[in-house]
Amino acid sequence: MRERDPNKEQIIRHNAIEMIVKDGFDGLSMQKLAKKSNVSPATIYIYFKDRNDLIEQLAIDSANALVAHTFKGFSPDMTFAQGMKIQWQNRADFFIAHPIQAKFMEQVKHSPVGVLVHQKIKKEFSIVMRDFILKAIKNKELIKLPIEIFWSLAFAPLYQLIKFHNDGYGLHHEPFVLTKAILNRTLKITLKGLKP
Amino acid sequence: MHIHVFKTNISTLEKRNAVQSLLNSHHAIIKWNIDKWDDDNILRIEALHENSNEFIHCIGEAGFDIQLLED
Repeated sequence: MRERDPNKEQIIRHNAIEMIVKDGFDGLSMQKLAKKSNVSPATIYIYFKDRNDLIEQLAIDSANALVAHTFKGFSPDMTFAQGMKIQWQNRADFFIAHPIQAKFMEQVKHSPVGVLVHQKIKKEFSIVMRDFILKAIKNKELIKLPIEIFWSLAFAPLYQLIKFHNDGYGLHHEPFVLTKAILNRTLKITLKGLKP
Repeated sequence: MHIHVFKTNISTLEKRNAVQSLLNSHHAIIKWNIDKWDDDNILRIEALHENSNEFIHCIGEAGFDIQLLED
């Protein structure tokens, strides 16, 4: 019987994400992945049913890791400002510590796999966020907005700063580091814009 | 549960349909799938035993090319 080796599986997962980030989903083949991971193609199929299963597992696991990290120390019962501060810091910490995973998740978001990921994490993520947002609206800490506008105002600035940091340069190609001070200043302005 | 991985020539929907009832009715096969994205048309079988030759024999007898992929 073929034995599962957690170390081998981790190497395969890591390499698959790197290959997708570098060459896109179409650039991932089980043969190329096997060669890069120094295993036989058959070994990959011990851990994954097929190529689609591999991509889906990677996407769902990445999303779950992000959700778990985002909610560290967070409660939907917090004030809007407190909760957003924790979420901003947690999300920044996650994507700065895992820049390849950040790019992978961006690719997933804009692919058919993104729909599946959304369905799988919906319960853990969307429901908690919904409670947080509704409470903030009720307490007059947050303007009531369509979700896309809310998300664009509440998180897009953070994600752009993370992207600048991970790229190593800002808008004019000068070196950029996302410091706590920059993050807090941007959050302060963001919260101001969202307040009734 | 034992996993068996084979390279095959089951490359078309027609061939997959032809092999489907054979695999679905095999007493030792728990689950099977073919990786449609792979050039080698990888057949993956989750089985009750570790004897790959049994599957090679029955799928080969049905007229398909099949080759065990080793670890």
